[in-house]
Amino acid sequence: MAALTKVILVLLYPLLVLGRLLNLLLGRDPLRLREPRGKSCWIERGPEPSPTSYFSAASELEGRNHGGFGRLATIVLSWVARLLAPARRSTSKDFLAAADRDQDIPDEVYTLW
Amino acid sequence: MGTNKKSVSSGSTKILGLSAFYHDSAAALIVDGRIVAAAQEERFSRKKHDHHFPSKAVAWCLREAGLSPVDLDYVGFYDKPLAKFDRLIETYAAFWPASFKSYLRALPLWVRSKLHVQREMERALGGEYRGRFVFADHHESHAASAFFPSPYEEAAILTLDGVGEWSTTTLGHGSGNRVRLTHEIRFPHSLGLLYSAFTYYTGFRVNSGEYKVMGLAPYGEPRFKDLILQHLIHVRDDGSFWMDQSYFNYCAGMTMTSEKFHRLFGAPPRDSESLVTQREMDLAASVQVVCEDVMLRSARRLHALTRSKNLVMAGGVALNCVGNGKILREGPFDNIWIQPAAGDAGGALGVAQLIWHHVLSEPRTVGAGDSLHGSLLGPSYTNTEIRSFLDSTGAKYHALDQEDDLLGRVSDLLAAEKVVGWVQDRMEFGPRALGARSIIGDPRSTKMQQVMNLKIKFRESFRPFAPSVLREWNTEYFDMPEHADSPYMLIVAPVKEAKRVARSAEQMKGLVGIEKLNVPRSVVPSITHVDFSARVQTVTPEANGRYYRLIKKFFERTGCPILVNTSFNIRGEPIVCTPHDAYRCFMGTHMDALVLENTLLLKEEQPEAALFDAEAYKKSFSLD
Repeated sequence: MAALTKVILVLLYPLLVLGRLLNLLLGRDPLRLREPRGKSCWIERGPEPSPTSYFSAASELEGRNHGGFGRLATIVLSWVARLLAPARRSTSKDFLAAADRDQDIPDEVYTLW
Repeated sequence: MGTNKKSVSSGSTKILGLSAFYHDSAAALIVDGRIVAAAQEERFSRKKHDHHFPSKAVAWCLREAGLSPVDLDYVGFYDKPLAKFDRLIETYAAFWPASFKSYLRALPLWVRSKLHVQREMERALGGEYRGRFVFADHHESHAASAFFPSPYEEAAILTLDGVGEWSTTTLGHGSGNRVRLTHEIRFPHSLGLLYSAFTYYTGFRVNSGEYKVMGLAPYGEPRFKDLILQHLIHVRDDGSFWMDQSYFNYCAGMTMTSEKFHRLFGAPPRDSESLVTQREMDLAASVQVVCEDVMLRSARRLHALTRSKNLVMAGGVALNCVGNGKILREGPFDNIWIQPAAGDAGGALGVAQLIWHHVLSEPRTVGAGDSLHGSLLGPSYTNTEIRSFLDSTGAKYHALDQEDDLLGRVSDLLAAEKVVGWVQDRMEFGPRALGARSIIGDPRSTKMQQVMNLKIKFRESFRPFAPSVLREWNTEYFDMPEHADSPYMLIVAPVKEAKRVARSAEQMKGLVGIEKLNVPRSVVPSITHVDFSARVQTVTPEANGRYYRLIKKFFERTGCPILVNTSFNIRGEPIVCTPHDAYRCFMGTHMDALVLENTLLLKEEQPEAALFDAEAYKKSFSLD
């Protein structure tokens, strides 16, 4: 299963370039890699999240208005993830706990993932 | 264990908050809005910064309240996994194709696991929990953990950390039972990650070494400050900032800093095994100055937006107590309250309180003080449990059930420059020991800092120690506003001029780095850093009980209202939780005495066979 996951992800990686190109074409810079002009870099957040939004793993506010394509890719990859997910009742080794990871992933990088 | 067990009626609303899977996993339980229990997983698992699902902490929280998972009404997670994933994908697209290696390491974890956090929580709760799962934005969890337990009806909110989903810094306002974040800085522009980049570059471990960088800073000169401000981070007047990502590698690579960063500062990162030099001290001083500047400017901007006289803070950068002290002394706010578990662990408490106030719209009542009970929210142990354990090990001990006898004996030991392990009451929630799981000593001793660092903590000799001071004596010794408190050791303040040794500043001028430690600096040298600062904990009878009375007794004997207070652990070890942990640490180090509630143990009386080899004990914990 782990090998299949990697193969699928390798095949999907080139698609990210489409996202990058799309952002370039539309002048989007979701990570603000170009320095913004103006006296302030603060970004205004949206209104308070609705009470129902607390029951979702997606956010109403975070990343909502950056104009990137990540949301679409997230939906696609979430579907892939569903196909690759371990069984709900799995108790065996195939259930990879979120905290389990290759030991050589540096802490400083893992913490951003 | 379990002197605090509360009986929870079936009509109560029971909410479990969780933080997990990154670092400092934790669980917090609130019942009808009241904080019943909170603890970090590392204290039970004995793995520092344990990031696994906090199953032991959850089990303890539920046991403390006499509950099982089926009794819970809500379980909350402290961030939004899909929003974080969205950020990750955008980052990999933006750095295509350089991001391939990182993508291939991170994505399998996500598709196989992290996108199924709810399933993991269900599984970890034994499949017994039948309620709904709640997810809150990472910074909203921080904001809630800062505002809701604070002693203010309304306050400005500042959260600063590495990164959550997208936000890295937020400004907001809390009032009544609502928190609202209004402004943010987004990944990859992050004050926390800038600080972590320097932690990495100076050879310390990210997520735990930031404290060392802060402690190292006073030994250095900020000669790299301009270089940082010109190239790495462009700071606006209002505290907002932009970071040039060409100097960093955390977006697409497997390190914090890029080759361009190394070229800018003229060398590769320090090897963690090599000596810390004046250069690292200067780098630490430089990034610290920049960090303080951004914190102060952000606080001013926040004040301009909210006009509040109260400020609450959380997020990993809010553990930068030097920066906090600067905001207190030079900032626009009259009052500051900082969540003691300001890092990710506090998110567990924050999400639980968000469910209570935002999802359930329950009102919030504010008392005279905060609602954290001195952050003493962890397990406690009875004298019977303690003595039963000691009897089973063959330890020699003195049962001192009259408190006056106990405090008198301990004060005498402290006054004789002995180092004492002190375990009382419930364990602290958060990274600081506040007099419940502490190692304590006499701050007047000129040798105490070296003894504690090298013979007990087995850590670098440059690391400073903190003072616990009787609240009423605080401003006699430290330069803080009369009304200001620092109950959670999160404010650094200068030692008063009157308490400093004359000409010590002049004597230090010709010295470099750690040589400065050899100059006596004040009447309490063990807690006075080389820049005459101290990380103050103000102690009150209401919040600290017996710990307050111990310092009072020490004061009556010596005229000194202060004790050295450091966490009860050695380098790389989580703070002790149980009597067993404490006894093991006591026997594996050169500590002179151990107090477990009403029980006193003296090292010289312990059977030789029970002594642990200090080297072996030290090696049982990996370096942090």
